[in-house]
Amino acid sequence: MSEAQNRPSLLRLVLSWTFVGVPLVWGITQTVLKAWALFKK
Amino acid sequence: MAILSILDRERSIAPPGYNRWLVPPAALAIHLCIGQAYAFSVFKTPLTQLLGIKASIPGDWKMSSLAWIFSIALGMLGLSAAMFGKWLEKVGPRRAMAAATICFSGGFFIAAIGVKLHVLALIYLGYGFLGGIGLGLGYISPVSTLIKWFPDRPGMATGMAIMGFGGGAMVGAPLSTLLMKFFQTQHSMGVFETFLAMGAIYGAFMLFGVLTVRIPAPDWKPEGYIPPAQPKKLVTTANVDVGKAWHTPQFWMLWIVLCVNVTAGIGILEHAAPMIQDIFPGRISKDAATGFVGLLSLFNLVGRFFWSSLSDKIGRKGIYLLYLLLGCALYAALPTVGRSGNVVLFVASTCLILSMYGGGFATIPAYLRDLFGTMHVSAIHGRLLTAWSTAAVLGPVLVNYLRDYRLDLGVARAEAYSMTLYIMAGLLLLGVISNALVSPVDQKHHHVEA
Repeated sequence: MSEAQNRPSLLRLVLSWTFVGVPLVWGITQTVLKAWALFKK
Repeated sequence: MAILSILDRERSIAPPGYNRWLVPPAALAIHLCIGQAYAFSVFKTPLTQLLGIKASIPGDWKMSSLAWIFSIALGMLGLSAAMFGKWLEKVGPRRAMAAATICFSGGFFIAAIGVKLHVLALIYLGYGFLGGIGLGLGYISPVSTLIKWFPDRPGMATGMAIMGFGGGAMVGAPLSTLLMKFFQTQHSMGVFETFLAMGAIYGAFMLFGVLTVRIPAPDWKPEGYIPPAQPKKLVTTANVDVGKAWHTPQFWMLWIVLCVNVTAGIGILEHAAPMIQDIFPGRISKDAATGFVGLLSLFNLVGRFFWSSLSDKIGRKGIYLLYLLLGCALYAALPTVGRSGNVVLFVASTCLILSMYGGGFATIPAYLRDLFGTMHVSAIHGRLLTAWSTAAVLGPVLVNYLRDYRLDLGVARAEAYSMTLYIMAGLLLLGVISNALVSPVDQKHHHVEA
């Protein structure tokens, strides 16, 4: 098998990062929304 | 069993041309899950009302008894990381991550049975003991793998993984709250179902990490990467066995550095909400105090990636000098900032402190790699994490007991933390000295290739 065939597709890279990125971004958003109260008058 | 051979080290060696950027998501999948441990406090109140539902009744568990669950889990984290580090080096990250998945996810299932039967010992055993082993194994599993994949940027690599641990609480807390709300009925707090669901969700998520983690072939190096002919003074090209590493003064200097950095940070993190309300009486609502805790967690997460990546540029010793000196100055200044009544400056200072607390966690594996080489770095890292367990007891004790002591002496609430903060500054100075004493490991400890 050539190196080119072994090289994972860009799609796999995007899917992997999306899989872990989505919950992380969701968690960060929840935290920021909560933290907003600190700066409200 | 033949199917288990998929977990073998040999089966996880990456084929030629494998994209190394596929490995950090595997590490993140594990760390994002086990980082949930820092969000366990969201279960505390519901667990004290399992019988009474609307309020605690006689027979319900006490808050003080529940505190042991987290303590056991963190204690087991340190112990298992120290005990199983060498085994992990032998079997490879995939098998170790699989064991972490079984322990962490299984811990939730056992804890769920404990909730159903209302037997606290089962929660200690499940979430505390077994889950704690999962924490320790999961924490150290991807570290040496990432260092091997990113020899050109080891700080950034470990920062990425350990950032996930910081983010785990941010995912775990709202997820637990959502699930409990979903499963709650008039006759149940929904904790049993939530534990079951979380065991399944986290198990599946961690399995993604188990199946996708790859180690590089022994002769692999990044395209175009040429190791520096003259490595930096502290960076070794040799390896030191874990059994020898922890008999070196360098190991214990780093142990002290990590311990004081974590003690100082965890003391603030654990007591952040009441602290800001005490220091600025009448100006910070309960919601705002909760927001403050969230903000600190966010900076803890960002610091893990930012500072650790920066350490690749300015060196590990230099970055720790920055954490410890700047941290010392900020801790010493906090009582004055509090007295000035400037909330924004107080929040900014504590956020910076917490970012360096996270940075300290994330940079330590790369520091160990510099001093002791790559071969046994997971095992050495595992043993160093006992500093974390020690600090997890020391930090909160310093803050809580000194605050109560000062209040008993009649000191105003706003001033109750001053002495603690000065002590934290002093501790960080001790860290500065330890860091300054770190020198290259004596060659007599280097691993001799057979």
